[in-house]
Amino acid sequence: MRPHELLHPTPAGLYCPPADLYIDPVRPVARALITHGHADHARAGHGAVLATTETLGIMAVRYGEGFTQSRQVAVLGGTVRIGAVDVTFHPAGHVLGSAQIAVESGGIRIVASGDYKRAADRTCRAFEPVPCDVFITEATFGLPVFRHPDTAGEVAKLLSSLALFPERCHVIGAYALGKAQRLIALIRDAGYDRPIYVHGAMEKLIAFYESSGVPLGDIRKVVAAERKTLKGEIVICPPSAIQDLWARQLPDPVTAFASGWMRIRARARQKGVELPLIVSDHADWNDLCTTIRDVGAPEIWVTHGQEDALVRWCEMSGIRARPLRLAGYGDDGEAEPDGPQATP
Amino acid sequence: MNADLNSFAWLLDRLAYEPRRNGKLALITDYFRCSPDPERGFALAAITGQLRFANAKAGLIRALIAERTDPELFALSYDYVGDLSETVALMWPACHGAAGHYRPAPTLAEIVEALATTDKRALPALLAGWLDALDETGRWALLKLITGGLRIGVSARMAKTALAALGELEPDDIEEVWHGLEPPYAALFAWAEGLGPRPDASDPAPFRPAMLAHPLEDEDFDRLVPADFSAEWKWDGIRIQAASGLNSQGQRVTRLYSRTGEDISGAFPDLAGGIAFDGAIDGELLIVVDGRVQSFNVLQQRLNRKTVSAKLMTEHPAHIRAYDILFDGTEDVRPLPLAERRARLEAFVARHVLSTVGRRWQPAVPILPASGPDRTPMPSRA
Repeated sequence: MRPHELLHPTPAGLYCPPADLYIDPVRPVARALITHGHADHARAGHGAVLATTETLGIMAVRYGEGFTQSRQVAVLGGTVRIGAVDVTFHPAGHVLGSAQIAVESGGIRIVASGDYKRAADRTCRAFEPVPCDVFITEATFGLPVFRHPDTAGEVAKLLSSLALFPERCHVIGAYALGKAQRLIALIRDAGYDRPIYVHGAMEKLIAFYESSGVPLGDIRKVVAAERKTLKGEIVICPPSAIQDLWARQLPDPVTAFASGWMRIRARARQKGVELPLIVSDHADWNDLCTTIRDVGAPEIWVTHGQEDALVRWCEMSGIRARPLRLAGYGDDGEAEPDGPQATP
Repeated sequence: MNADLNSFAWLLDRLAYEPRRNGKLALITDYFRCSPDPERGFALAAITGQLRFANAKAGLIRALIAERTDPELFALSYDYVGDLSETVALMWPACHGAAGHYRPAPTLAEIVEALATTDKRALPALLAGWLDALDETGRWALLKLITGGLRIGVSARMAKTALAALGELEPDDIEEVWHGLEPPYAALFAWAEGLGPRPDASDPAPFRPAMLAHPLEDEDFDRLVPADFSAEWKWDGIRIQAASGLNSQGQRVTRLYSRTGEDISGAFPDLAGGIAFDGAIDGELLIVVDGRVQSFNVLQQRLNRKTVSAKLMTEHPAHIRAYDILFDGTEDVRPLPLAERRARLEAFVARHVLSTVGRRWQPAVPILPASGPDRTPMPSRA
């Protein structure tokens, strides 16, 4: 069997013919394997879904319990046989419940990593490199200009701004799944124990993290009547809300945004960000390169992001690589369609 | 204490994103408060545009990065980021913190001194060593600094305002001593913090903050009493201050300042060379040909130049239309009422018959109603 016979791109997503299943399909299919709960990877309406228990939980929080006809829990490290294919989920270190999916048949193992990172994150299981014949890597930050700094320094930047501007509310845009919870954990780890206020659209996923064993301290929903009293406080909201009327009603807000994109000044300015915090849930350039070496695969398929530069690096390193043009995933990788659903 | 370039870089980074004036002021004052001399003094010099690095050009930076990165990866990155200094700062191979490569980040003082004394041929290795020792933000700040493209939205006046906020001084207090001082301004910081005396402003021709013109609103005409004011024409030139005096060696020093205190003498040697008084006058810089004041467009041809040709000076001779006198000899006449200053100004100009200033003071005109001619007279509060 050749690799592309085991797994190849189709308009519906990555398709595995010998098991008749899709990984992270972008259209409704009979059988879907889901790497993680971000909306561009995990969609509602499939016949059957195999995913980690946390990812299934996140999908239920977002789409309701009827998000699929039948669901099956994938245990990390445990192998499930589907048709002629052995399927194994391994931790990806991206968000709570995120997994890489290894499919193996006829002596060939392909690992679809989904989105992943190597940096420390106490809100999810750490990435584990899995030896394989083909490694499918994301390339969200696949340019050598993206080297994420130490997160402690970014949180220090936030806390020093709070100290310098105690009369201003610090409102931070952060994706509702993963980024928000990790950011809260980082702020807590820096010793900040005041209440942290969150937009109503974030409440359910934060509660889900806490119920999954990720303590985040005193979290309070922003109540409209109290908005004007939040000077000197930290407020976390979805990225789309930072320039909204919602945020402008906070007391003299300092607009912050937590994302790997904040490394690029033009991108930060474009979003009207005054306090960019470079905190990412994706591997940076160095970690992409390190991971490709760690898994030792002779062939690399590169998907969503800056494919060309990472393919170029593989070629320079003597590793066969090609871009895998998959449609339907967030153009900027960290994007999520989660808007502020309800005005709290 | 913040002692190296990374902390100044951190300030520049925050200033580049902070849109509010008060936010910028708070950041700069906080940096001045937390940083030692001479680092903060060189930082002040950098922000106020007092540092110039002749040998560091974009070509040198391109050559350094080309030795260290794949051209295709660089091209993809530069295309994505869109700014050379930023791309290089982000792509520079990190030695920072790597075992066996550790070296402390340079201070701003070290950089200023080394760039002033290092031979052009030794510059690439020096710059590369610094880039190795800095983090991403530090590298970005260094490259912006030496290529002269800080663009952080902070005027010299704002930096001086932030400095004054260290203690009880007003920004104008800083302006008055500014032109006699050199980086790293240790005595100035000590004075601002209330820890030392006012620095000796030995400059015989310092800048003095000018009284600025403000437009009158319709409702102002009901409130102000015409008898309390005098009026004169507002000319369409640029506000200028001419200061002159003798230095300790007895040589004459003359400077022409814009209203923000920028020294523009270099562009107007015809004007500066004709001044031989001790004192300072405030007025309007105009081009006058055959007794006729020329349009602002004509004046513009002479602005923003470091040097000027004889032809340009002959065709577009510069003049000052005097409005006010600030210093008469060594006497500070600013505390006097306008009417007294006016008399002083007329006597002063009459005493110094000058080719360019002589007798071209403004005759006072009566206050006109709001519906008067287009050029509304500028009232000066007595």
